[in-house]
Amino acid sequence: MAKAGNGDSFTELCRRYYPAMVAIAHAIVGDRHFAEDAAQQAFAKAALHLHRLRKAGQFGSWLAAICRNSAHDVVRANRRLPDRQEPAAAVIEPQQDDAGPAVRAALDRLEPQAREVIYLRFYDGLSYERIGEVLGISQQAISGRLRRAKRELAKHLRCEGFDEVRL
Amino acid sequence: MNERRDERWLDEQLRWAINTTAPEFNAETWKRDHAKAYQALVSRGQRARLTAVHQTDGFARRAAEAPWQMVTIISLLAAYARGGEDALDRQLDAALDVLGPWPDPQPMRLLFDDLEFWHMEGM
Repeated sequence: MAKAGNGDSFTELCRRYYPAMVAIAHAIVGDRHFAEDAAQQAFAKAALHLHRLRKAGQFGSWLAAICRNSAHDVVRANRRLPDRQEPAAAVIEPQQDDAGPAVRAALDRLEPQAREVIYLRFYDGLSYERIGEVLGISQQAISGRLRRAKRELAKHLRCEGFDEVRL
Repeated sequence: MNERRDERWLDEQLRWAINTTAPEFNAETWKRDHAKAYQALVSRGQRARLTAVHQTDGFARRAAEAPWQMVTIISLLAAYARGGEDALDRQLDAALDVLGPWPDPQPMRLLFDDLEFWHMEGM
């Protein structure tokens, strides 16, 4: 792969990090299509500024920072969109107890960092290893951040009437 | 609601609320949509690679610290002089065949070995 040339190596890196970047952007823009746009814009910026990256091992977290900025740019460019509204195609069918809307509302109320780690973990089941690469933290720290985020979610859900939620 | 809602329940709810089909990166579409950035990446990479070769040339003329170093450098320079980057790549492939397979545990490192020709631009 790497021997095929710089361009191919870079696109291979993009392929590896794409789901994580889309998840990060989705946590900010709240829309899958805009999230993909933001991720791709982030790759373009990374391609232009790759020479600024000093440590290859920090590529994931460096890219994630660019992606967050791109996602905020997308939000600013689409002021008319509610910040975190899912498109109709992405609406999940209600389950038996119909907690979906409450869960989404609770997600919206999380701090950005907590929402981001939840999205990373539950977006197509990204591994702790990949999450650690993009957040630049250990797997233990991811675990702690996830636990705190879920507790916060549970608290919001209890406020929404789901009194039995206990973690 | 009598049902107990624990972490497993919450995980399931989150999967429903968040999970979508896995996003797949389409390299060709990205290259087309961001042609300027991609071309900048490729052209800078090639320029840097050439610079790296010339720097290696200068290094070889000054001194090699060990015979194997000199032989390696000479073989790469000769390949580049003979057939440019394609020949250089072939020579590198041949060297890898002799030295063994690329290490699997560090695929990221391999990708960056290629990209890090960038850093040599400023040397």
